[in-house]
Amino acid sequence: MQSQRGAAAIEFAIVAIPLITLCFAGLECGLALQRFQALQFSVAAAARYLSLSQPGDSSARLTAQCLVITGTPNVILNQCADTPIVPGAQLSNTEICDVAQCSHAQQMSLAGGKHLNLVSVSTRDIEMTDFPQWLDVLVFPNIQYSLVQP
Amino acid sequence: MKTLNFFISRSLPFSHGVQGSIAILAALSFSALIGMMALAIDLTRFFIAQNQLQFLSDSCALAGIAALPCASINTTSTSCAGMDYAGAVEAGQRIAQTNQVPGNEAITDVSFPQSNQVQCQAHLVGFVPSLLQAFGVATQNLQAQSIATVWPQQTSCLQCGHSHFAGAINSTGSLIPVLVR
Repeated sequence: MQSQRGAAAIEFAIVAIPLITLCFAGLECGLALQRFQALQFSVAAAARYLSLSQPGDSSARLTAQCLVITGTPNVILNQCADTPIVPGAQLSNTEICDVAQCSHAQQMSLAGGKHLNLVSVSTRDIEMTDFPQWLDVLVFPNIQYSLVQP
Repeated sequence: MKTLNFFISRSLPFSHGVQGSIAILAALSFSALIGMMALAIDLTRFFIAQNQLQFLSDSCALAGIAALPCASINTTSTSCAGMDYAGAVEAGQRIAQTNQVPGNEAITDVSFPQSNQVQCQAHLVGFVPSLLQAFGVATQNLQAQSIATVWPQQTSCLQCGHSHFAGAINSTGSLIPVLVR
C-alpha cells in the first residue's frame, strides 16, 4: 500500500486555485458594484445641484462635474480637489446638457403652453482600469439623470 | 483537514474512506460560495434599481411642482389663475419617462395630497433577481414615493413661469424646492 502522506495537500492545492479565483472574482464584483452605486448617487447629486442653478452657469457646471467624478463639490483651480470614485475617471467622462449648452433643445413643452427647462447629467464610458490586467477592462454602463432647471 | 476528512467519511453512508472527500468538501464549499455571491450581486442590483426608482420618483415630484403653479402663464397678472394640475401630471410623467430604470418599465402615478403638493409614486413590477431565481426566489415589486410642496403658498402670479419659486428658503437665503420622501 502506497503512502497517503501529503495527498490532502495536493488535493487542496488543486481545489485552492478555483476557490481563490472565485474569491477574488467576488471581491472585484463587489468593488465594481459599490463604485457603480457611488457613481449613481453622485450623478443624482449633480443633477440635483444643477437643478438649483441657472442654465449656462459654467462654475456650477464644473462643480457638478466634480460631483459626478469625485462625489464631492470641491474644486481647486478648475480641477476637482478630491480623488475620483473610479480611479482614472476624468471630467471628460461626464456630460452635462442644459438649454444653454446643448445643441438639441433641453426643454419640455407642456400641453398648456408652458415650457420647462431640463438639465441632464450623464457619465460617458467610465472604465474600471484597476481590474486585473488579464481581464478585459470593465466599462460601466452610462448613467443619465434629468431634472427640471429654472 | 484530516478532521474534516474523518467527519465526512463517517457522516456520509456511501463513503468508506477518505479518498475523494476533498471533492465533496470542494463541492459543498463552492455551492455555498456561489450562493453567497449570487445573493450579494442580486441584493446590490436590487438596491441599485431601488435607488434609480427613488430618483425617478423625486424627479417626477420636482417636475410636477415646477409645472403646478398657475394654469395661465400670464406673468403680469396679479392673481393666480389656479393650479395647473394637468400640467403637473404631464410634466411629472414625462420626466419620469426620461429617467426610467434601465431594463424595466416603471409605472408612475401623480397625485395631489393637498392643493400645494405633488406626490409621485413609482412602481416597478416584476424585478427579476437573475441569479437568485435558481434558488427559487420569485420576482419582486419595488416602489418609491416622493412628495414636493409649494412653499410658501403663492398669492401672486408674478413669478409664474419661473420654476423655482416653489421652494423653501434655506440658511443661505436661496430658494430650494422642498422634497419629502
